[in-house]
Amino acid sequence: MIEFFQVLVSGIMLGGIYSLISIGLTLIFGIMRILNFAHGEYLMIAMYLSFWLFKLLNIDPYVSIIIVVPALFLLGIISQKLVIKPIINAPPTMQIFATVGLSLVFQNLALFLWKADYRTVKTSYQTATIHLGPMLVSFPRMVAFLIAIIVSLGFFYFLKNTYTGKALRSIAQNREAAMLMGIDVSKMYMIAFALGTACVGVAGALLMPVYYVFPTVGTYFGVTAFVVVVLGGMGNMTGAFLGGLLIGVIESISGVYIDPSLKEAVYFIIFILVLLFKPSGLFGLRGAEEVGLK
Amino acid sequence: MKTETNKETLISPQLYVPVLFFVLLFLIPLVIKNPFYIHNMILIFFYAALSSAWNIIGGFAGQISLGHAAFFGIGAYTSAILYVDFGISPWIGMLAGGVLAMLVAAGISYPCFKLRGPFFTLSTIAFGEVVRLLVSYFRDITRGAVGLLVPFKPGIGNLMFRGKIPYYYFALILMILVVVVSKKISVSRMGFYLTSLREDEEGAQAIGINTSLYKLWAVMISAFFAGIAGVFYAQYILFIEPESVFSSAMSTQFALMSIIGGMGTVAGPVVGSFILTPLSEFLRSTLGGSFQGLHFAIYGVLLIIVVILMPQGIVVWFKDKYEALLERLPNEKRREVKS
Amino acid sequence: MKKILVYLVVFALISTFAVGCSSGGGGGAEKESKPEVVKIGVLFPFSGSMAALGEENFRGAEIARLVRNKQGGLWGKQIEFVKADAPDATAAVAEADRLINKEGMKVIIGSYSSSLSYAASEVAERNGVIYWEVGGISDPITSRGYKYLFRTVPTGSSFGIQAVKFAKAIAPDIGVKPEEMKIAIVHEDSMYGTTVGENAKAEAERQGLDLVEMVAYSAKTNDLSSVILKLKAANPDVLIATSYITDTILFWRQARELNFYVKAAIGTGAGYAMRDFAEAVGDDVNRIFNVDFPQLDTNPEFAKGIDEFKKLYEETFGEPPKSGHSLVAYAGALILWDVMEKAGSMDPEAIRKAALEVDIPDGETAVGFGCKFAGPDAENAGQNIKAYPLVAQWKNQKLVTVWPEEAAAGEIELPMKPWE
Repeated sequence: MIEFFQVLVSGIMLGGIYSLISIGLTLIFGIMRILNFAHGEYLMIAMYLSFWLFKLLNIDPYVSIIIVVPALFLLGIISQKLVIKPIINAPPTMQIFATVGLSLVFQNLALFLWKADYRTVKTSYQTATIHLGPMLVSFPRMVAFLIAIIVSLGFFYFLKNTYTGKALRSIAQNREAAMLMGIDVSKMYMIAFALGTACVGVAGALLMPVYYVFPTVGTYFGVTAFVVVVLGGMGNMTGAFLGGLLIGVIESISGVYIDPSLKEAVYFIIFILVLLFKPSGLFGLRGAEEVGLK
Repeated sequence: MKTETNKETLISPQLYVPVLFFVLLFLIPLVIKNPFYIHNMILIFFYAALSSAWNIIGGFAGQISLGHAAFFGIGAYTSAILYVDFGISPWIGMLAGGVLAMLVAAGISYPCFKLRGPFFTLSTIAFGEVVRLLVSYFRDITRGAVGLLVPFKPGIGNLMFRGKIPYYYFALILMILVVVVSKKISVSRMGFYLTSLREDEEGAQAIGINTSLYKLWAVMISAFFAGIAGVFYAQYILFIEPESVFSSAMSTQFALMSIIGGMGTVAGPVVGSFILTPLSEFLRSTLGGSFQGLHFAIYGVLLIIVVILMPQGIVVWFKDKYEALLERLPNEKRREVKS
Repeated sequence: MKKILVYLVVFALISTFAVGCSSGGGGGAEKESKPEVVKIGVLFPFSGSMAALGEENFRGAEIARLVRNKQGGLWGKQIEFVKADAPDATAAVAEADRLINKEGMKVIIGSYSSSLSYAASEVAERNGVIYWEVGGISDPITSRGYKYLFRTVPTGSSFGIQAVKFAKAIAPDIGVKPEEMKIAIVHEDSMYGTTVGENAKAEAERQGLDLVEMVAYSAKTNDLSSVILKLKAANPDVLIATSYITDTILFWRQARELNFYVKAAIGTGAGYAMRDFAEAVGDDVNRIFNVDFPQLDTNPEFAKGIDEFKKLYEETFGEPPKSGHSLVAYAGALILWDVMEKAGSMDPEAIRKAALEVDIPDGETAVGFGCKFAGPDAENAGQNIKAYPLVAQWKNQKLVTVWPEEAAAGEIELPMKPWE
């Protein structure tokens, strides 16, 4: 029984990381209706940034957040201006390929600049563990988990209570109407995209002490983020948070009790089933389905 | 390509120009004997065939699949397993592989057709991954991630040859076959239905088109050819592993050539492959060692530029010139019309 | 503006197409030959995900070339390499084709990765060209009865078998009887991990050891906690593990997080051999074993010329060797030079004949083990039957060869230290 709870706790901690990565993706999709296939690559860039700050300037990955997040925000603005804006009204196929192109560029530039080597940071706390009764929790994973909660709450508050947040929500609900109400849609898109990439910047810095970075690291997390986002309901922050935890737990449980080499298959199948039978996502709001299907 | 009439006679340039082009390709091995160049040509045909096959569902019907490597891999694995474990000729394996790919495609695509746009794409990615993971998992049948080695026993019955020329013709014929089928579809009623459902699915349903049925046909035809191309790959490279034949990079590759060449046109994927395949071979052999990754980055930039500036693909740029050329060539029909 | 851009793109595409057609693949080649050189093809993954160790493997051959050239080369001529980059199996076929048919190579040295070796040696065999494998370890490479393929390094199965033999040998050190020793095997599920894992399992059964758990997983995974929890539940004394570098790092970090302790951990090559591993986990690496190609600190009495090799490597590349991959390629290529010298020409038939006559006793090469190739009728045709892997142990974040005794440069230290 203790073993089972340990599996559960490990899964939730893993899920915290997934949640953190997925929140940005769901934000971008919810507001811009664009599936950003380069999302994982922004994570990769954030991780490299955090790594080099550590390596060259000896800045702790957690401290590096204050540099990585604005940098990613800026990168988001640039990518939005150069690539996303011209295709915002293009058919979905074109949008998919533009972001696929973006991901190819990022991935291979990273390979070109930094080689295929696996880079890690070494910190004093990275293998520290916290005892929760008989269960063990890794300290950096715990931190990532807690920050995922804070970030989701922060976004929740931001969208509910600030002018920009309300404007973003109104665009998500009805683009034309929002435009008529005098909201600068183009600017809001830029903000949404940049917020999404900044969010993944947080994830990148938090992930660095637990994981390692290499040019294709984004694909592993990117696909999982899509699963989480669909599961949680496209554009739904709380959904993405819970969806991340759920995927983490599913992965952990199926790895131990079914077979480690099938754990990804299990959650992909769940993903397909959700897509087919509940496209609004498990935690989707009513009406989101319409959005999700269009 | 514009066609004023449905029936084209042999003397209309719309028909004889492509035919001449293909005949020319048939003659190339008489001039170029170096296996290295022949190998590059084989790759060009091979990717042109795969990209054209992808284009039937992705381009004509606008259902963007990024999991097509699954069908390709199923074809490759089916014939390789039948040959290695049961001694069944790859010619039969080819049919089996194509049909199995087709059936799997039908089975997994049908329920997904109710998903639109990016959601359909996501489901194809997920299916592609599931197939790859399952093939790696069922080691007893597939040998798992270890990969499957096809023992080299040359002979026409085994679809294995000492030289490259037979492979050249096989790939060329495969490409022509897919192109001809694509052309047939594009001018048929089915092609019309596919285009209309791509533009407006509700509209197409409203005028009584069974959109699911036609999408199903399209994906089945597409998967069938992808499967056959997979069999060719297995017999040519003689070694397949899940990481290479089921890779998502492979899936992206098929779609990429189509979109850069010109999605939804018959010539687009072929143009795409004729440009991108040599480009990537060239970039890899010149940049590969010293600038790893740079050639794929160039690929990505190209893709973005094409998507933003030429969403209809490079083929659009050639189209006017091509049609102008056709105008100037002797044309039996035009003379008739004029007289 | 837009139009100009479009024209530019199209122009660029067409010109690269033209160039690609006319000169495709020529880039990797060395300068035009002077008459007095011997040209040999080298095919490794210089780009792509396998580039790091592919390059390391190649460097060994490069040093062997420099050494030989200093001594006067082959038949009085200098040796020159024609490089080919093969990041994946399809490219390996294309590049092998280029080397043979465009560059006219009669001998190719390759290729670090087993799947590349598979694909490329097939092309060489078809064209009657010598393929000299100095890196890829998968067994099936030499199970095809090829006439022109020779491999100087040990096979993957011998890694698994050696690991189990070693586990049995250290039973007293960890205070259990061999027949009561509980063994767990964990491996990544590609060709490499599976070959090693399956052979370790078979050997454990032959030796009558108690195999309590066997887990396979994909090296692409981003979490190994489920694997570790499974192992933890089985509670083995000894762990035999096969993994690439990423999953090795992840495994040991998470093992610590989840407090998974074994008395002895035996890795089998790849990730366990790399400096990156030690850098990533620090002192946690100490006392972990690694069954692998001979390492750089193998006893010089046993591995003759190893110190010379290390010196040359540092002189040539300005850094110490990254792993034993360069060393084995170095030793392998040196054997090739001797074989070619004896053959007297570039004729593959003559080289083949000379290769089959090679019989170098143990202790005469830079890797320690000797060399004798299995004949074309043997089931492992072309394999160096004298090759075997050695066991090294991480001490102060450095690998030190500890077993078998004749090769040892240090003592075995056991058991593993528990996590604090």
